[in-house]
Amino acid sequence: MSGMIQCEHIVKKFPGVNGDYEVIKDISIEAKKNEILVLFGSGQCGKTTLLKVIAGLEPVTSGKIFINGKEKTAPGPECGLVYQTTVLFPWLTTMGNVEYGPKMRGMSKKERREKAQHYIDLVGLRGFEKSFPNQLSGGMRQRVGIARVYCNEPDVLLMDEPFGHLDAQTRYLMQEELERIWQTEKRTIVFVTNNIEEALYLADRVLVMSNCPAVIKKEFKVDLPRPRDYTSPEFLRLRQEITSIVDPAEL
Amino acid sequence: MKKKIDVTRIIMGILAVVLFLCLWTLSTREGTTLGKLMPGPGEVFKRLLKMTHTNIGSLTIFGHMLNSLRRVLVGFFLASVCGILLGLGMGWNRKCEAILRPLFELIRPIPPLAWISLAIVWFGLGEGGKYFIIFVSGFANVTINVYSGAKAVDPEVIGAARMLGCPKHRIFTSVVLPSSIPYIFTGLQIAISSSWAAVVAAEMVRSTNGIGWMITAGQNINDMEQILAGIIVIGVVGFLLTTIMRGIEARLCAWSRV
Ligand SMILES: Nc1ncnc2c1ncn2[C@@H]1O[C@H](COP(=O)(O)OP(=O)(O)OP(=O)(O)O)[C@@H](O)[C@H]1O
Ligand SMILES: [Mg+2]
Repeated sequence: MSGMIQCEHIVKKFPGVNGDYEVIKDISIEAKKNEILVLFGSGQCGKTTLLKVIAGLEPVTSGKIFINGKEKTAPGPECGLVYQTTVLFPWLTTMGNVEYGPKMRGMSKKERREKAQHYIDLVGLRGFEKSFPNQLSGGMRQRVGIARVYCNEPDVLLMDEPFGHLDAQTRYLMQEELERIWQTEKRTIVFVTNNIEEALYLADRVLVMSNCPAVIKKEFKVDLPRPRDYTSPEFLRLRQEITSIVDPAEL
Repeated sequence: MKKKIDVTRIIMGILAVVLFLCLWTLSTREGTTLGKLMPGPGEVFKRLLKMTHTNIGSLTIFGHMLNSLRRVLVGFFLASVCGILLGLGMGWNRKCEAILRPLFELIRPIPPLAWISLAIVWFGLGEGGKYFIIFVSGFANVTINVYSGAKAVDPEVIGAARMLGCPKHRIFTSVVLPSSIPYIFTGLQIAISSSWAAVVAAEMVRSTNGIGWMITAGQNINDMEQILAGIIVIGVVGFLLTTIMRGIEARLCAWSRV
């Protein structure tokens, strides 16, 4: 039995004016079922590109991706991506956005409304069900994007710096919620962040990416008991170890 | 979503109209050159009032107005349906665009008036020809706006829909159509005013009623009051039509305002 996500020798180049621009250079990743994998890397190193490739939203230049044993070539509901810059449906309200996935699956109105309401409450947007995205703040839109993906219950959750635009307080809250959701309804998660504490709070494994063109520089296993204590000596030691291999100038 | 009514704006608008009427009265007062050629607003409005209960030709002014409105609405409706279909088709389907775009670009610059003779030959002197003139005056505007709307759909949003489980064949109704709605409305807005403006031209194709007929008939018997009354009705009804369209747009496209 292979893992939930299997990426084999992925290469991604974008066509540019003076030749191809290589963003990902031979990355192979495997994630077991129900594992939380954190991709940790500096700015512009190709993290977003890697997630989009896994989600089937960008074609690979070479290499293969398997989700649950099936080759991934097009976007579909088994992989849910929380975008770094929110990509909502501007003509739909918060409710309309969150219930979009279940609606596409043909779930009855009553059932999907209930479900969507649950996730809207979870991300703290109760009272904004009827607001359109242009009436929400950046952080609120981000939370709509999170609720929309949670509500679609994908096998694989791909999260691209999802809490990046949130204030520190909400950020901690969302990290705890994500962990709670993951505890109750197990999922496989690939989580991108450039925040080391967030990485260590959530990860089963941290993969440190190099600068562009990206390769996996080093892998860290995080075995600490959950929920994690930001101040435990083990936590601080790992934190120290990871930051030391990432050149601070890169961040 | 309640919008506050801006009182100062409305007052300024009314003042401008009043000022215009004053200027009109002054410049056509007894003894001026313009006064010999043209009646003042007072006479025209008196005449308008009289027209509400006496016939001009075969109908009162309301009868003429309703006939013109019916023609405009039929022509506008046909132009909207065809324009929306063609615009969406060209914007969404590459083949459709390759085939129809050149044809459309050739037809687009032809002004509605240039179609009159053809309209008579094709559709005769009855209502058909008039519908056609009004149709061509709105059609291109709807098409070009809807076309650019369907082209402007954000590919990221299409990707998001697919990622959430929308099958390929439903992307059109699920994403392309709703995100084009503001563009569709821009097209309809322009089309309704140009269709209404074309009614005079359309009713020049032999007719016995309509505001356009009223104006041409006034011209034939050199009745300046009747011509001006017709022009005022066209202006006011046109204003009402665009106001209604704006109202509908404001309700349906609240999401697209930044
Ligand atoms: N569609 C594209 N066409 C061309 N180049 C692209 C495209 N998308 C991304 N790139 C390039 O790929 C590189 C990596 O981009 P990417 O967004 O994946 O980085 P990132 O690690 O997510 O950055 P950040 O930390 O800012 O989110 C960038 O230099 C970018 O210019
Ligand atoms: Mg990114």
